[in-house]
Amino acid sequence: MRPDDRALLGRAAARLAGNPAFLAHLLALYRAHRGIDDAALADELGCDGEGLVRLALCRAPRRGTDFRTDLASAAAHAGADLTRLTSAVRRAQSIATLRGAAGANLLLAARDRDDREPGADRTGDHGG
Amino acid sequence: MVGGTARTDEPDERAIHTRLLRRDAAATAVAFEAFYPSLVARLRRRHRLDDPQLAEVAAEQALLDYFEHPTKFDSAKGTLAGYLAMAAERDLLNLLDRERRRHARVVSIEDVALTDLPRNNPVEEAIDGMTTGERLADLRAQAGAGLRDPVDERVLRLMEEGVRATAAYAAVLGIGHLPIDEQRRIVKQAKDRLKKRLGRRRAAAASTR
Repeated sequence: MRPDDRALLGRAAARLAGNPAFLAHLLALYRAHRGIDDAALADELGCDGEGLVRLALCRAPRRGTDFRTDLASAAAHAGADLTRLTSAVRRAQSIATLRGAAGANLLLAARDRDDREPGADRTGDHGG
Repeated sequence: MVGGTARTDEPDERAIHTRLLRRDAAATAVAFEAFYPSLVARLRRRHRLDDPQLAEVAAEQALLDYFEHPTKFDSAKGTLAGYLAMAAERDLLNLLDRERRRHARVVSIEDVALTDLPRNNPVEEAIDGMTTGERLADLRAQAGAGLRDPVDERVLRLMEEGVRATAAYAAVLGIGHLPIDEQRRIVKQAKDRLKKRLGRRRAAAASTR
């Protein structure tokens, strides 16, 4: 990968951090969770900076039986350690699931508030 | 290359396409590395872009569309590089068009905000534009001579001061004894008449300059 191309692909990878269809998204979640930078993340995954860009541009692994195959392909392409990559991706998926659940709970709470009649079922309103 | 002798620096399109159809997770990265830099460079060569990142976004969009619908590419009709180049070109033109429209909207809003008085069809547009006392004062200054009728003059002064209370105008017009709806109607009538008259005066003054 030429240096110019690496910078270009790096910017594309950074934009894909917002796209859950790509590993970039899961790696960004994991990196933020660990509070580390790209260099530290690459080191943790056993690859260099170029490998990290390659990983980010790979498709996010499918669930189920294809999960390991997908990660193996991504790790092989990027020269990353499959075991460490698998661990990081599983952690990132848990974070994504928790965030999704938290978001859903917030939405449900908001809907409950909206559905409630003004003044109805409010503790203390019935006197006593 | 499909249908020819592959040069070593050219991507193996058939292999990439096959991997993508098989949903190989690394195929997207391989395709990015193979096509993205040349797509961006081509767009930048062909278009003078104020924002060079637009070429990157367009090339990225073309690749993402291809990843999403790989079967739309028909190798019998041409190369994958050509297919992606056309898609990127189309995406860039769409982005530029969107930018132009957004820019036009911003300019249009700025025009309205920065122009004290409209320049076309002065009477009607001046009336529409006269929402504040400040603008009204500007209009009167541009229209030249003051008003002869002292009642009109006092009404105009209230308007310039931004007074909105119907009672104030009703007192000047001597209609305080009428029902409030009637007062409102007459006050509105008086204001509209004055605005129209000033608009005409302004237009006449502008035409003689």
